[in-house]
Amino acid sequence: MQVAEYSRFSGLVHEKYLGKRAPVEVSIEVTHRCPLECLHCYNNLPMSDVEARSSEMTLEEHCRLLDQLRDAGCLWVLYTGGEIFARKDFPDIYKAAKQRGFLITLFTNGTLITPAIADMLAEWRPFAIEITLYGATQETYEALTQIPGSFERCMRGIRLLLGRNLPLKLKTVPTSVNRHEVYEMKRMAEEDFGVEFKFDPLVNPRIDCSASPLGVRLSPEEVVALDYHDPKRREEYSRLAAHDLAEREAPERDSDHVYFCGGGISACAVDPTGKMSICVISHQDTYEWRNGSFQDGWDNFLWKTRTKKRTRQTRCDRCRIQSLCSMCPANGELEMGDAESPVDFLCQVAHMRAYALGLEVPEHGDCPMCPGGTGYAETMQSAERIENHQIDVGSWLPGTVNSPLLPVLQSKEGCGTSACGSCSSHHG
Amino acid sequence: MTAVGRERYLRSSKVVSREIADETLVVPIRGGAGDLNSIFSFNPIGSDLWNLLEKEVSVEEMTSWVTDHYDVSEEQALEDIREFMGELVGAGLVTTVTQQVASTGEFESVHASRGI
Repeated sequence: MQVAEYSRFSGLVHEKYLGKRAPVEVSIEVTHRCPLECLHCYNNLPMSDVEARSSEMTLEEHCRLLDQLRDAGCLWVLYTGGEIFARKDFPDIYKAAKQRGFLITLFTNGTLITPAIADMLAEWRPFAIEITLYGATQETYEALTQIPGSFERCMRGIRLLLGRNLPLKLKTVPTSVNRHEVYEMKRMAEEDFGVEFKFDPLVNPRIDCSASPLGVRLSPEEVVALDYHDPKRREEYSRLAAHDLAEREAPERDSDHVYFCGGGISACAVDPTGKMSICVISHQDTYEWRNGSFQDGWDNFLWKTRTKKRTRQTRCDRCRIQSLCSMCPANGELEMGDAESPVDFLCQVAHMRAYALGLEVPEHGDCPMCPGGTGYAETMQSAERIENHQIDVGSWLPGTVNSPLLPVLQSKEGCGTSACGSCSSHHG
Repeated sequence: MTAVGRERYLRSSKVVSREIADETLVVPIRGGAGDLNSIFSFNPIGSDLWNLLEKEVSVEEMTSWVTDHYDVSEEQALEDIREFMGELVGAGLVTTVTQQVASTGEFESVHASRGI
């Protein structure tokens, strides 16, 4: 009998699947409803949204889906939302998954965790739980969540889980509202709670096409300044860039396919209504699981989606700093309405990361962030300020909403272009 | 009447096994099933024994099965299986089921208990 270290075990499983196609990791959104109203969220809906609630998969459907996932060889299941505990029957869904032997990660905001839920999780221990913090203080946290009392409820949830020695990690999404507290959240997580902490400043438009989250998105300069305030993070980007640039050519993409990630190869997502897709933020191509089966969706529909051919070359193809960039087709879909369109924001962040490390980016086509491009001067100036420590993250003051996009959030109309088909299936 | 214990083994109801990439993985799913942070895997013979443990089985029966299917002496198989069962019980992956058997050999009662 072998008892393997988890990282070794995970590596072994992935190695065994190397070169094969199997849905080893599946993300399941149980609901888009959430008791918080975070300004940056890409998919949340009100708790009172009757239409959303009535369209969610039932407990029985979840059990049937889990049986099919098990038969298809899935091992890791991520339950996410919305807020997973917004569904009263989530503990039943979760236990059904545990009974089928999945290794389960839970994403939650922690505000609905009660002693009874914490006790249930202690009995049916998850593989991991990740709680998103929105601020280190009540004022900042609730400025982003817009719900009074939510900070204390989150802290209570954290304490309940830690009191039962559950495998908790904390994280945040830096925004213009909480940017000044990111490193205080890190300190709080590591020193006060003794848990790991990470942050990801990537804020997307909503899946219903509303651009409202962009109103609180950090500027590229703020993103990179936050990254490089942490020497370890800076070192990691430096290592990644050195690896990329040591290659003679840009890393070869997955032939001529639009998608180049693990979506559709080793992973996929299922939304609250049973729509299967490449990942949780990709909604241009979805398969109605309710009208078929997971295996059919995986074998046929998602394979077809995953092998969709690119229609054109872009500046991303020959870019040598792809590991510094968060660009992916799903981001293109959400921000540009087109999976193949580069997102200027992400392009600028990646180039600034490179320039702030003193690196040159080899020519890779018509790129606005490279020498001669329209955004080059601005990107370079920001990079120099960051490199010369002229931006003091520690002195940032409480931020504000950056643009007047927020009313779009209330309009419930999306972009109206119908480019991705999301507007008709989601409301916000 | 003298009773003699004859232990039989059975998978714990608090673990689930999965076949992933041609490998048997055993995942503890709830409290009382040993280390909930661990995932267990077996070599091919271990996987065969795990399959036998789906129903109550004795060390002698497992030994017989192994010597029928693998080129190994009965003595060696018995020793290895006893050691393996010790590990499985210690990890909480199997439960022991002790048959209280009368000296006449007549079956009297069976009760199950958790491994540790």
